[in-house]
Amino acid sequence: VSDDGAIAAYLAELRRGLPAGLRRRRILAEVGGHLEESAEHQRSAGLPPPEAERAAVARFGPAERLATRFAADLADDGARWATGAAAMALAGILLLWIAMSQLGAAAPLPGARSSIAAAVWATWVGFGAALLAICLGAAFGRLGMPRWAVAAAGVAVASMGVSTVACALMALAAEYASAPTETVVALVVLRALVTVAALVAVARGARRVTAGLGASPRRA
Amino acid sequence: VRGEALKGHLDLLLLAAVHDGPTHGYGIIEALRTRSNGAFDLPEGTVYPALHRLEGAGLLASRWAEEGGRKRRLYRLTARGRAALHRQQADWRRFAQGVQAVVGSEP
Repeated sequence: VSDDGAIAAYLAELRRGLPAGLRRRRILAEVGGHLEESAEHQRSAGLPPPEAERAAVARFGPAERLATRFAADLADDGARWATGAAAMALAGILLLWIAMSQLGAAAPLPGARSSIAAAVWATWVGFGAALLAICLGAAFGRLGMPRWAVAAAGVAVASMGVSTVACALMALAAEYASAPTETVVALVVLRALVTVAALVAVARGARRVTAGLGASPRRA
Repeated sequence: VRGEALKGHLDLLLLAAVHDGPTHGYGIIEALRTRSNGAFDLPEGTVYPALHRLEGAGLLASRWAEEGGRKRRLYRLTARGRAALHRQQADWRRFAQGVQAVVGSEP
């Protein structure tokens, strides 16, 4: 395939229409392989190379339309994973909120109570911002949605991290209080597990959006 | 048959095309064209977003393989894909029989 031929031009146009990432590499590798094979068949049928490439591209359909279809699917992928991760984070935070409300009153030191409260509010603000970003992304169409959705889910998980720190502070406060330390430590562990699970969910979502379902091969 | 007319049936056609074993995109297009006696001559690019979507839904799985000096992405049916294919085949037969019963043979 010549660098200035119809196939190279087609792949360049398709590349421009797709978000960067390994997913794009896979699509370009698959489409490029298809076009090369198609052109080879045209050549063996008697067409000269430049015309064979043009015929292969014509049979494939417009690059712009193909890019639009892929982009729509990528947006759906991103939105689905980000929503799942955000829902998981929300469930974890709600559980923790209830537990901390019960235990917060047990912390005897005003300083510990206020730092816990500040951490918990930071969690809520971060999580609210993440949900707002997801809603805005959904409301204002799919353009750029995957990256925004994954970023929003990332903020949600970060807010869970803040909340985990709050939990640790809670455990520290419990050292000075009559609150059952084992219960608070169990909450910290549970919280850490939920955070890790949410991180994995977001990482998988991000990978599907930016890295695709599988890496494309290195060009030989 | 134009691409638009095939739109609602593309998933079934793709699942059926990979039923016999792992196949790459170009092979799937060829299978559709050959098995339909040239009736299904849709723009070749349209199958790729559909293949990726079916893979995302867990009905297909894919991997890179080297065949004849070319690297190709081979698609195969998953267990869920096989079940979906059987379900859609049954739906299609009912639909086709119903249409045939109403439309009937040529006068």
